Amino acid sequence: MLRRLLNALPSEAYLMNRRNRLWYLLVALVALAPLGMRVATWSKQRSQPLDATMAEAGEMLFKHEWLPNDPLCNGGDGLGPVYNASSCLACHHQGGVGGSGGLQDNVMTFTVQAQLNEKPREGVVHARAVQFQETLAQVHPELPNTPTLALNVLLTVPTNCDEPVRHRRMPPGVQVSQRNTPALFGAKLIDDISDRDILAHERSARLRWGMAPSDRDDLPVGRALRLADGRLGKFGWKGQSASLSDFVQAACANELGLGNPGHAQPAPLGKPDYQAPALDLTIEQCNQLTAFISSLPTPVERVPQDGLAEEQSTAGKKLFHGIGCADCHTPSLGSVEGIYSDLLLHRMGQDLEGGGSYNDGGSRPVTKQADPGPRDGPAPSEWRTPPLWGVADSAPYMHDGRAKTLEGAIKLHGGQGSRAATHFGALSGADQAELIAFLKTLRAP
Amino acid sequence: MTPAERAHARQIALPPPGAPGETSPEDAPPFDAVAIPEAPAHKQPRKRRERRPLEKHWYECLLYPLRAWPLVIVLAGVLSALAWFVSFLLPEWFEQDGKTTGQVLLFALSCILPAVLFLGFLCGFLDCAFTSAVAGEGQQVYYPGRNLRLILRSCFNWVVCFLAGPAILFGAAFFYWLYGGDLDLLDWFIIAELVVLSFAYWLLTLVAANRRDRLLDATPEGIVTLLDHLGWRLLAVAVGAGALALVHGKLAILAMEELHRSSLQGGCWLFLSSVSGLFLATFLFRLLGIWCYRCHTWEQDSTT
Repeated sequence: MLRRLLNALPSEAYLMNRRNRLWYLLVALVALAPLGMRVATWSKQRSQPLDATMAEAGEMLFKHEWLPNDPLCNGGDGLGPVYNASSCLACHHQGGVGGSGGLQDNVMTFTVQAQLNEKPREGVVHARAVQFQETLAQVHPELPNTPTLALNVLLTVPTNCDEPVRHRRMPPGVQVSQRNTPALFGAKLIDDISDRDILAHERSARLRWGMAPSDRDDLPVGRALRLADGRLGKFGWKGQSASLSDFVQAACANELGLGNPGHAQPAPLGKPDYQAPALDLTIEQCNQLTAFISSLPTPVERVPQDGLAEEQSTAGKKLFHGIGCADCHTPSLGSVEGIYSDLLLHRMGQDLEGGGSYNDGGSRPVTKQADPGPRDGPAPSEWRTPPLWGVADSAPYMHDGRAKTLEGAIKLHGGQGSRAATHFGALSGADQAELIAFLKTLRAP
Repeated sequence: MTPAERAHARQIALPPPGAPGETSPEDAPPFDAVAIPEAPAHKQPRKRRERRPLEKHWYECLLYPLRAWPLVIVLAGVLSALAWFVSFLLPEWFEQDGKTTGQVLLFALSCILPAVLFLGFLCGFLDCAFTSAVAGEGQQVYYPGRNLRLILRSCFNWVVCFLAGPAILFGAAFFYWLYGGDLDLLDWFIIAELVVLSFAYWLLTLVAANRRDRLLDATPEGIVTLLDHLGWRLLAVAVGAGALALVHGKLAILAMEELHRSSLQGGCWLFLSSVSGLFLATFLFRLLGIWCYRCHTWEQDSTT
């Protein structure tokens, strides 16, 4: 064939004289240039190896009870001036060190939409303070002069919380909601998932649902949140942090009031011009904390050995896939098995709307738009699919812990999760029990 | 029988030169006209329509899809309905759990088979536009009608031609899109290139295979031979056609997205992109057929 081609070129191809041949060659080279450029610039995300010494030092910092002007704080003001807890362990304790937290550890967040002559504001109303105690009244004068509100006051629909719903109407343009403490187990594996894997899942889901856009409320088609620097959000309820390191630095600043090179500590709402004398944590200390969290074990799927229970959980796993839970709670993502999350933002319906944000440096603020574009921040109803590994040991459920049980949590799914919730509701009692039995095999390590 | 086969059969059936009743291929009535029974003697003979000369310039081929407009519109309508089916009903069906074998068979018979037959008809129509031109037939617009053999054969030919090379390029573009991460301008350019090359190669394999009605010609060697005969300018035409296919593909994807937001608006966009795509595809196949015909007659003339 090659000989024929070579023979054909000079003599037989009457329309391809020498000059034309040069043109064809030039066009072919130009066409190949982008491919060459991409091959030369192709980057692959590499996993950072764990440093045992760093992790050990990080464990000490994780369990440390921080004090104002703490000696570990390198001349900074230490804990506070406003904070939610005095140590990481105070909130991350369920199912072991690094686990989730209960309702009592919830954090209040707020968003105030842009008013005339005012910029939009968002952030955290801290529960405690060394000085300058924050209250909701500082967010908006119509709100009470307390740092927190009970969860049942924020809810609009009945849930299986202990308290009956006593919804309080918020002032116009103001959204207040709570965030439950997530578990940190397996965070290293999530950190190692490449953006390519997340986007591949996003695209295949769209393809599977006939190129459905992510703004459809009834199909499980999520979207990856692109942060201001172009990276994808993988951590936090709204996917506001791109890496474990960013997440740790933001948590140190927001929850403990420990300013660090990655994230400044928040100024109290009543004292916006507050200046800390120095940073509380060095980048080394932040890396030690990140190393410790990276060293936390991965949750496990503990299938009971008892014959009947094993059968029940196996059947439940099949139902989990069958009724569509696995559309968003994907069992594996990239090379990570058993994560049960696609790490994408999904619209969860009006009842699960929750404004407020940690207002992290690199993240995009919660948008007020109902239909955010691909580069916009999360809408109030959009939440990142939480990984279900270790779910049996991380009650209460949903972003603010409004569901005490797994059944309740499933039934509260709205929007893009409503199909699976409806299918779950239509199952017989025995089938529902099987599905719950499967979820209860997903244990903290 | 394909127009090429008909042309071949007609040549075999032609009486020897000088025999009574001999007609030249240009004068021979088209196949469909032969099938029409003659008018009864007592009626006034119908005024014979003027013969339409074969296209001489590329722009004259634009008239061919216009002559076939009812077919183009109907096919575009069905194509849009098929896209709607793929967007809405197919995912729902796949989502259903616990399907029985009977249900699967029923679905295949009621949905998949008609879709395959329709796509076969579409391929057959484009094949007819090409082969009728290769046979030098300018009078009528041909389409597969109810010739199931022709429909299935066209469908098979198109699939084989796709698998004979373009599938690799198209697969590469698809997997690059899927696993390429956050795509920037350079990535989109590479994907566009792969898709354009894939469509261009597909077109060349189809022309190579249909020109002499030999599927074995759908090889790189067959394509080189084709380029030898028709001139390397054909490569530029094929790449241009690939670019047009890319634009229409993108339009169709946008229309499918819009379909999820507004059925009416998305449906209109889908229909318009289908009409435009089919119009251009018909024009292109006619043009390439005429190109083959002219090159063939030119070669014959130069031999004599």
